[in-house]
Amino acid sequence: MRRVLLLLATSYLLATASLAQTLRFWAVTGSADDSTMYKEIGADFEKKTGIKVDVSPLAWGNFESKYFTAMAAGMPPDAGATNLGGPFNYGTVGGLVDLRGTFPAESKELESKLNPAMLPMFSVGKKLYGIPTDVGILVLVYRKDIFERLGIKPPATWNELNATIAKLEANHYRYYYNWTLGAQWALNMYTMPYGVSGIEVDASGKTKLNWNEPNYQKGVLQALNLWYMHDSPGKDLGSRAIGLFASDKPGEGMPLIIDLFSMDGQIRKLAPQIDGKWGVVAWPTAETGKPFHVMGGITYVVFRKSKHQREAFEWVKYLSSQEVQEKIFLNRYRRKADPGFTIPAITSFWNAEGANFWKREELKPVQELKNVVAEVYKSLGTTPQVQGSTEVTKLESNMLDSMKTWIDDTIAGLATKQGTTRSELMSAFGRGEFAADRASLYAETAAKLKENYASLLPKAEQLLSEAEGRQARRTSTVLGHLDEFEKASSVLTLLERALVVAAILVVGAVAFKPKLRKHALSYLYIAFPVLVAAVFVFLPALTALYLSFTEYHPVLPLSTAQWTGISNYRESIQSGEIGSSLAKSLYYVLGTLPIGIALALGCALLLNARPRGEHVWRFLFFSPLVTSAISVALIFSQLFLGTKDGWLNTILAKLHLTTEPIAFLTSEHTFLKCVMILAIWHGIAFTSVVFLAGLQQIPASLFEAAHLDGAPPWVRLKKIVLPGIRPQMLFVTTLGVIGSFQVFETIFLLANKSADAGARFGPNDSGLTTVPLIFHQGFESLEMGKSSANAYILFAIILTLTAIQIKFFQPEGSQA
Amino acid sequence: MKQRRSERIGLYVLLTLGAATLALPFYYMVVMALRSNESLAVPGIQLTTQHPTLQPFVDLFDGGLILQATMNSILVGGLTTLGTLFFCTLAGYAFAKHRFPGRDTLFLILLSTMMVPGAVLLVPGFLLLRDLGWLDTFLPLIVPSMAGAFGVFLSRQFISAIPESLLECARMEGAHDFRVYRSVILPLSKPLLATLGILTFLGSWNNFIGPLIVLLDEKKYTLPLVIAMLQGRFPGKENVQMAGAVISITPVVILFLIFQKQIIASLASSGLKEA
Repeated sequence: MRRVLLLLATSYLLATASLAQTLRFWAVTGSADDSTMYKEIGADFEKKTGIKVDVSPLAWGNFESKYFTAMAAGMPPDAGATNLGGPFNYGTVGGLVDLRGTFPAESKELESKLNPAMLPMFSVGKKLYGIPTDVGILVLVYRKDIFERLGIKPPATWNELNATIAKLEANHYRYYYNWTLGAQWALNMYTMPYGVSGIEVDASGKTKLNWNEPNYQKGVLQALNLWYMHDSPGKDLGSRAIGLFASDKPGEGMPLIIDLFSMDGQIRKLAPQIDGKWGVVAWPTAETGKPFHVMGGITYVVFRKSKHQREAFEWVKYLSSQEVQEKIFLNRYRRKADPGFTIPAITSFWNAEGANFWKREELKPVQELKNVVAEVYKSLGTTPQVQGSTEVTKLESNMLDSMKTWIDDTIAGLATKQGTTRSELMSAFGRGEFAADRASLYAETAAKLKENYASLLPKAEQLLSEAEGRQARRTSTVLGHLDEFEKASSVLTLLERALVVAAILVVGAVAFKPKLRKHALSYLYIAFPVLVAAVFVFLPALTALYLSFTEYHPVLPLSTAQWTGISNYRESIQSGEIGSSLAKSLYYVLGTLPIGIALALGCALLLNARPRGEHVWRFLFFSPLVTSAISVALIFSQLFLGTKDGWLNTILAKLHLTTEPIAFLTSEHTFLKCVMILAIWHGIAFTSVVFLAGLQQIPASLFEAAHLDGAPPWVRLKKIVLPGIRPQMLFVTTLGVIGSFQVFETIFLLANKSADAGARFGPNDSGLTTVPLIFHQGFESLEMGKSSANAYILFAIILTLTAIQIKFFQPEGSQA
Repeated sequence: MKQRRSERIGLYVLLTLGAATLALPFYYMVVMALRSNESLAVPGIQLTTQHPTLQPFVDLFDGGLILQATMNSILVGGLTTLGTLFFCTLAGYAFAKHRFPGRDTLFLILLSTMMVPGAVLLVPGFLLLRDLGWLDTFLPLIVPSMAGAFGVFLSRQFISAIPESLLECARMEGAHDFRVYRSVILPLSKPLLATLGILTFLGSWNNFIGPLIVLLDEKKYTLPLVIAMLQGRFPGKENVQMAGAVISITPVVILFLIFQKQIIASLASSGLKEA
């Protein structure tokens, strides 16, 4: 045993130590193959420069909190690939190297390789925090043959696009909209053609929200129209979408895919039978607007806390070179990856310089796409980032989610009114039938959108001005004196010191007071648990209490925490955020616990009837017991696919239980209910185990007597079973309430948070129960003070509820 | 107790229905995990898999992280469990059988930590671990859970029931106190060790939010983290994602199959000891 322990310990130490002397590079890529690719490039770089690169992939869902966590811990990687907002978000809290300031000449040279219109988003004043790469744009992928058969030309304007979709739907075809479906950050693609973006900074540096601008809303309406007002099967269908794209069958086929430049590789891989039958065109322009293409993508950054800033910048330069970008392109292209067509940010790919590259024989199949991208590249641009926009964009994201639910409901209402199904109604709209309904749908949506923006604006403006205030303080006092703040001692260090002093005093007392020294051994036995309790529970609990009265950003030293009195508590209660989270938690508890207990009691009674093959039954009933919530949630996330292409929806339809597919995880009505179904399913096993143990303690003679008396089952239940399992009931409800109030991982997973940048906790944050709120504030929006205040409110509520329950179950029960 | 035939049939119908509902997600998982990438692209929903393939597992392991994560989870779970078995029973023994000033107060203080919800400790715990330099290591996942109050509580309850006379015997023979713990208490506490061990290991194996906050480097990820990231790493590849679920679920279900009796007993008794 001892040898095993020693072996484990050494192997652990070796595993952590071996990475010490290399350049650490984190890449948000998502796919496993991409990190292999970066590793190969890293090996080439090492051959050239002798600098070793260690590549770690990050998932799109949580890369941001990973970066912030690492910066807060003072152990960020040396260089990283992050989203477009990353340079601004990390740079403004002192996390990044200003490339222009630190490496002026080289930075200038690197910038000259890029389209200058791209850079505003990554600069703050004269500082430059990031270098873009892997651009993302919208394109249309369409089936040439089907379009020809239906007599449609690929659309060049939005009106033509809308007409194309109508024609497709009239012929019972659908279209597919992938990764930017419902994404708030993609709104610019619809509003910028009208010359308006949601948040602007004017020349004087003042921020302005354009939500009430009619032209802005016009663009948003076009987005909502394309996203939600048709019979599109939703996003993330993966390979299945390709199958539907390749299908010719009306009612099934999707001859048009929007925003899928990234899917071309997958189409070539999975549907070679339609080679030559499909084409690509650029994202259409708005009639009244100007051609405008907003880029999505990735940026490279170098971290301030890196000890190898120079080497890290060399690596970024290397990555941005024509040579390496070609490698990246070909690597993804050859493995027909998703995306199989990379759009490098450097100009040389798209002007005459890159001509040789595109002459390659193997690139023949994508000439058309290349020409589209080269055209679009000329008009690519970004706008400067705005401080505090993160929380404001979250408001808008949630509003868009609620618009989706509202539109779905309205369309369902119209379908019912006409006695038809949603997809039939869409087809009828396409043929020009029910024109009045269609017009009213559009008019009502516009009115609803206007109303929503108007009501959200004050809150958004307040958030922006608060953020501006915070930022002003940070830039004026904190960022300029980071070193001093880093040296200053903080409350946490004082608490830690106090703890050390206390420990010394205790040890001293035990050692020198004869009365206590007698018991030194006893104290030694309990020392470790007591120490753990003090260090890992009481100390943090006290820190949280202190933090709840401050405003604190974790990337900055704790000494920058600013005392704000009770304002965190006040704001949390006044804004209703904790109230609405607690209400969701309560709804969750009330929805899961009684049903879960009833079903579990049923299972326990069935198993207590001693069926033949008891062990097999027990195994079947109890196996969910040991499975982790995460794995189970992963399974359910697929079962719950919210279109008719989903598994559960298919089964429900086959059993004739539903006529329309249920939008399980994409509607704010149903999201939390799905989490609850999962919780009930997952919890039954544990609860029935506990009940079964209780039932087996009830003397069989009691049941027999009742049986002889001819007592009906419900009387037996009320008179024998329930009193007999009272302690178990107390245990199950107490634990159930505490557990349900702290539900987190199932919501995290079902909300697709690990895969989707900017995912909320369910549509319109409908799954933002209490712990997700605390997590979001602490590790996503990085407001440690607010997070701690809400945690303490939750603490108080759990304590109260537990006390009430114990009182409720106690009087007649045992001394349990 | 005699039962009518119809009641008996009803029982089996209900049992089958319940088992089928509970097993449905597992059925889906297995069917999906054996499906090829190409068959995913076939329109329409198939409730079975015609040509099962292990390709999804190959893809999953090519990603490289699953194997590493499994090792990490075993390491963390194993060390946590061993530590718990030692520290909690030792402290439980002191609280149950020793008399010393402040014993009951200290025990109550220890118990009170169970009332603090984990959510309160998320933010400050993170800051503390940062100051300790423990972030991105396994230490925060192992050390604090090696001496949880629940384990001490369970141990004290169990060890209290061991007759004092047995301890006296050993002491009369001149055994040192630690020897009493090792040769009398531990051998008599096998059911306790089983319960505590199983609960601790399952808790560690399935822990998600701790590793989510503490671990930065993907090479150190534990299994639940890697499973949660599958949606992002293999987007749209439902078969590979389900292969991951199979990998994470199968070992514990097999353990469950072997130790069914002990696990059920452990969980049933976990909260029911008379205080």
